[in-house]
Amino acid sequence: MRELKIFLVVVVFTALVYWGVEPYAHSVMKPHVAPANFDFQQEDLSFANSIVATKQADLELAKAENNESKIEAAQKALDLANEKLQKNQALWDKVSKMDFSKADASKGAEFFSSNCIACHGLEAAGIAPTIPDSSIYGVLPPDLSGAGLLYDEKFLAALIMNPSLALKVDHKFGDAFIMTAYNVDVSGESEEVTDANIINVIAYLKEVAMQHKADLEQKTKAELEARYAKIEGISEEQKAALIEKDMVFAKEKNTFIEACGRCHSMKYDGLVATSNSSDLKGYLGSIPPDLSMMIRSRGEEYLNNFLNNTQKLLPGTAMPRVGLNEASQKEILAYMEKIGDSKKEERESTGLYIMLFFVILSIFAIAWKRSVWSKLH
Amino acid sequence: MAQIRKATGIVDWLDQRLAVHKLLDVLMVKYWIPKQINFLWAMGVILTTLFTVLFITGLLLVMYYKPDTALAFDSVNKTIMQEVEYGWLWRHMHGVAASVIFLIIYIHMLTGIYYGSYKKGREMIWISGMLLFVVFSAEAFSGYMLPWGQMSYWAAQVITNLFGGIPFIGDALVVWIRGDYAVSDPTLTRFFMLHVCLLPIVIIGIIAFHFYSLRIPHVNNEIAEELDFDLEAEKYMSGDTKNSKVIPFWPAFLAKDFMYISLFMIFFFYLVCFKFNFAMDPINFDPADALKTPAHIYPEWYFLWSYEVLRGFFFDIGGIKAFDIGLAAFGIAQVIFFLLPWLDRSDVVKPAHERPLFFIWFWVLLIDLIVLTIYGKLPPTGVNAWVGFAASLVFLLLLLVVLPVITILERKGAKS
Repeated sequence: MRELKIFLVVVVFTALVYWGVEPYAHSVMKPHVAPANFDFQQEDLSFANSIVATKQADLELAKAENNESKIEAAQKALDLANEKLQKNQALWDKVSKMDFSKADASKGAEFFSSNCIACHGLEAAGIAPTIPDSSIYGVLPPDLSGAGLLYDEKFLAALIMNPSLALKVDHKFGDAFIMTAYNVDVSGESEEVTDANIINVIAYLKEVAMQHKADLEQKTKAELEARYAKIEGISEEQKAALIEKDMVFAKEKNTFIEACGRCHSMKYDGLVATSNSSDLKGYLGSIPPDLSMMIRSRGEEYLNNFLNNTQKLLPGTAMPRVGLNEASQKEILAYMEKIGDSKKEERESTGLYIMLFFVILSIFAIAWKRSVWSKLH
Repeated sequence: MAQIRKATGIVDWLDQRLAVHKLLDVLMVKYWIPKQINFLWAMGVILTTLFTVLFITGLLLVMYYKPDTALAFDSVNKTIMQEVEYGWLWRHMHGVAASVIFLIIYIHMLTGIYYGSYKKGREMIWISGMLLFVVFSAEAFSGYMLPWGQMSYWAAQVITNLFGGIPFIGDALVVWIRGDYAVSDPTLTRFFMLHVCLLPIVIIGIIAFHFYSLRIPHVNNEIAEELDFDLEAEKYMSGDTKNSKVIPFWPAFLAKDFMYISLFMIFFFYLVCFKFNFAMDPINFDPADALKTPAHIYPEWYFLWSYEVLRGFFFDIGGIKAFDIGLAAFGIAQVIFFLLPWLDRSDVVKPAHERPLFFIWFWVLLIDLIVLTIYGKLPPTGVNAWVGFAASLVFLLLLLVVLPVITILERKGAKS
């Protein structure tokens, strides 16, 4: 009994130290944020509101201190936060009024070819990119073949109307963002016309993306079948299962390339960012990090929240909010885990076997100890 | 030359040439351990096991590791963790064992303190153990640098910088340790040498000495009873094993330890495969970047208490800079435990619960060490800084003032 009591004391103090240096310390050091929200209107408004609340509290604090210069600075910050909240409200008000069911994809195609192709390629529809590399803008403009399925439609609408605000890079680029806005103020057209154009072009992008997805699936399947046809010694079912698994991986990898691959490399999978790194440095201020080990250094939860709203976790970062819908974001995180933590499955199953081994060994060890000690007591 | 006869078997053949029976008697079969001990006496063997784990996994890792700032990170995170068969297992075992070994070292040390196993003839056991602790700390620090992640780099930056506080030679010393003006490639290469060559050799040497130092004063026991080992051993060998107060190292003591090791390994591999972040900080999976300071820099958990003593003195006192006071306190914290046998002025060897004042002192010290550890990780701002200051002060007072005073009182009380 005494031995058990001592053991409990050791366990309690060890657990206390563990709690202090791990969960507790991290909860203090890591910023607390609301979990990822794929309703971008809600997300942006609640985020802008929370900033206003913080700035308001700062102002009150400064007032309590009665420090003139601090009050002035805090007031300024509060005004800026309010201004941003209003901008967000105005933008999302407009988006929420749009009726995406009335879209006409063929009109969207026309609009695309007269407006968007100056910068964007649409490979799946046979439209080649006009800008071949990153030297002009610092970053390669994206080919939009998959965009209609990768991104949330409301986010795309907001993005077209006010790119820097929707992407949350307005603090860095202001109104001088490389993508020009398309809205009533810029086009001089009526709201009806601009709204219709926007929903039409999004419908068109969706249509193209469906085609793009089907093409990709077909292509990958053909490639994989050809590759597995050469492999002997496994059954047809096993082959089918392996092809199925590789198809999922190819899809996830493709989503990563389309959403992240213009700026980020994935060295451990042989992927190099399609924009030139020195161009990116000039454009963003620093070279975007390689993402090979991000899943281990940041963890899935952080990345999920970060992609959803970059400013929430890294205020001031030049990385835009990606605007991925929930499904495509999951694919990207799955891909990152398959590259950065490729042995996770093996680790967890092997771990159980090793533990089981020691459980069995312990049983024998206890029996041996008893037999030796039976002569000693 | 000894008489060599025709051997009756391999053992006999060896015995005639190497006296293996005599050797086993001395090392194992007639090495007497008190019977009255609890599981805390198994920590030594668990430490030996963990050191063996570290040594073997370390050898496997060295086969693929590349001590070059351009290659180190990828050789660890790509080659070892993903390409080499079971490389992840060796690395996780190495990383987790390095962290857990300190937990066991602390339990081992605190057991020694609680049962008074550091004095009255056992001083050399204590000192060699403390030496092991210090060299292990250097081994852990040099090993932490090798993956060349963000924490590797910045911890190296902060810790090597500390030597700059040493009067007169500080600045030159920092350059000498780094092998360059900043932490860079030569720093990594020399710490690699320390980690895989010099320090392990030193550790093995001190372990041998630590084991040897146990032989003459013998292992302490749960009630700190002074045993006549010769008499008890005779009793044991005459067949009265039940009444003898000693047991042989083999098989009795090791049978018990083997049981504890087996049980411990279940827990160890749970950590290795499912709960490793405490030992392998996520930040260190970001490659080292001299231009990007991490938001929080902190050492591994086992260095936090002394790190907090370093940070605890955060304001200048009497014209002496905060940094210098902190550094001096840190220096004291590093060596003060060596002096424990002489800070304890009482000659009573008894478990702490039979020494009332010492008992209180022990638990206050333990709580203080835990407070230091927890606050050593938190950002040193606001209230945290003051808690750290108070705990650091309490630590120094406990060892430098309170312990001598209460043990002198104890000695005087015992006489009257």
